[in-house]
Amino acid sequence: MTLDDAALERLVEASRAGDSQAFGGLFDHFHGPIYRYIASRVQRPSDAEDLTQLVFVKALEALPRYESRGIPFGGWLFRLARNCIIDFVRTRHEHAELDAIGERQGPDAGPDEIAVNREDMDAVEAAMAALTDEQRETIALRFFAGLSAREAAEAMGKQEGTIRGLQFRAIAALRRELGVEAEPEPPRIRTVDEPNQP
Amino acid sequence: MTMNRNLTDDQIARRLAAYADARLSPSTQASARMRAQVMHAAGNMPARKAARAAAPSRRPLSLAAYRARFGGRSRATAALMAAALSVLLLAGVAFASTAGGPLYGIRLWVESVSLPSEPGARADADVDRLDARLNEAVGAAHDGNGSGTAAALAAYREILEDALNAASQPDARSLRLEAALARHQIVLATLLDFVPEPARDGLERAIEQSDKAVNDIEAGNGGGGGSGGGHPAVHPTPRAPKERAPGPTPKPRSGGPSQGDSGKPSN
Repeated sequence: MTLDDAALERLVEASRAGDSQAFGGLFDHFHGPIYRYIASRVQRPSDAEDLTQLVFVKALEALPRYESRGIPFGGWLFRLARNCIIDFVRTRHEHAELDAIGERQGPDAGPDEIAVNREDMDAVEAAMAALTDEQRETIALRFFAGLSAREAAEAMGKQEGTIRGLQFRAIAALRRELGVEAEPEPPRIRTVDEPNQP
Repeated sequence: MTMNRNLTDDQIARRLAAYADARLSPSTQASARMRAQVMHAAGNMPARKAARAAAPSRRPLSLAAYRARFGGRSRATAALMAAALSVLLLAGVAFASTAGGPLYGIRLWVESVSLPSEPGARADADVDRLDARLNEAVGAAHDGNGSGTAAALAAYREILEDALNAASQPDARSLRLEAALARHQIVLATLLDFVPEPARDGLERAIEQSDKAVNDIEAGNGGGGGSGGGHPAVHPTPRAPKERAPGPTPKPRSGGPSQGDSGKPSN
């Protein structure tokens, strides 16, 4: 479900006025990104599901107090999600159960394809583990949840420039970890007018 | 060199997106479960809001009416009593007009007579009413209210007939209805797990009817071509409930990083 900013604003206003259908629209729009962000932070799918529900219920309660004032709704919602994750990690011992996160293959994926994909996913997971916590969170917000830099900045309580810097460094680290190197520049052909370089 | 770096950054972005799709996205069933729970919580919102809104909007009227009759000391008490009465009245009406309540039929009738006559607006209103009935059914099922669930599902089936007639031509309206029904099928299938027994029969009929409606719309659109180009993005995927297996997962929002925005800080 894709919504432009104006449609999103209308849904937020209607939800604030108590329109549960409008809130359903907000859920449809945001639940996937919110779930992905949470799943990248808490590991267990069942916890991600519970926390996603909790975020939306909290949003429902907090909506009357939400005032746009230039703050993107997505950023506000993800800040709620971030606080929920912090509370969750603080109050419960987080046991990473990486095996519990089973990737879903397409129905036509054969064993080779599954094996290749699994290796690829494992490589990405290992590369993510090499990032700092802030870099990992930036990647989760920007690439897993699809937030803009401004929304990610709002969610993390940082400046937009800081987010861009974190993302830049995270991508550079991922590039190293994943072995994705920039192709060498093709040799430059010297023109006849150019003087010989030593 | 910048171009090469952009290329590699796009590769990274694609791998991250593939990773998120494969390992971090909710299954169709999980999405339906979460939606049902959240909508149940949201379903209680209008009554709370109405009760909250009633007091400030009615207080000035009550004060004005009582100011002439009573002295200053009793004004506040009178206003409070009026507000409390209003809240009680609203709560009573809200309770009676919930699914299966004595005023539910009247509410549905009022809804139906106030539908817009313009075909496009009518079809849109029908989709909204279908959403509302489904949410009522989920809410009633959560409360273990069998008669309420059955009443909401019966109303759902009735509106579905209307909606099918209103969206009989293959156009954007029928596609919107199809998209809504695809979403409803997931919720209806989820309801099977916890629907009260008295409403099970009605639920199964609602599932059959929505299934048939989707087939009818697809046939009207040229035999299943509806999910191709121009079809509104449906989330979760329409066929997932029948397959009972995890379907394709939603993509990250379009507003996020894309080519040229990945990895490289701009501005």
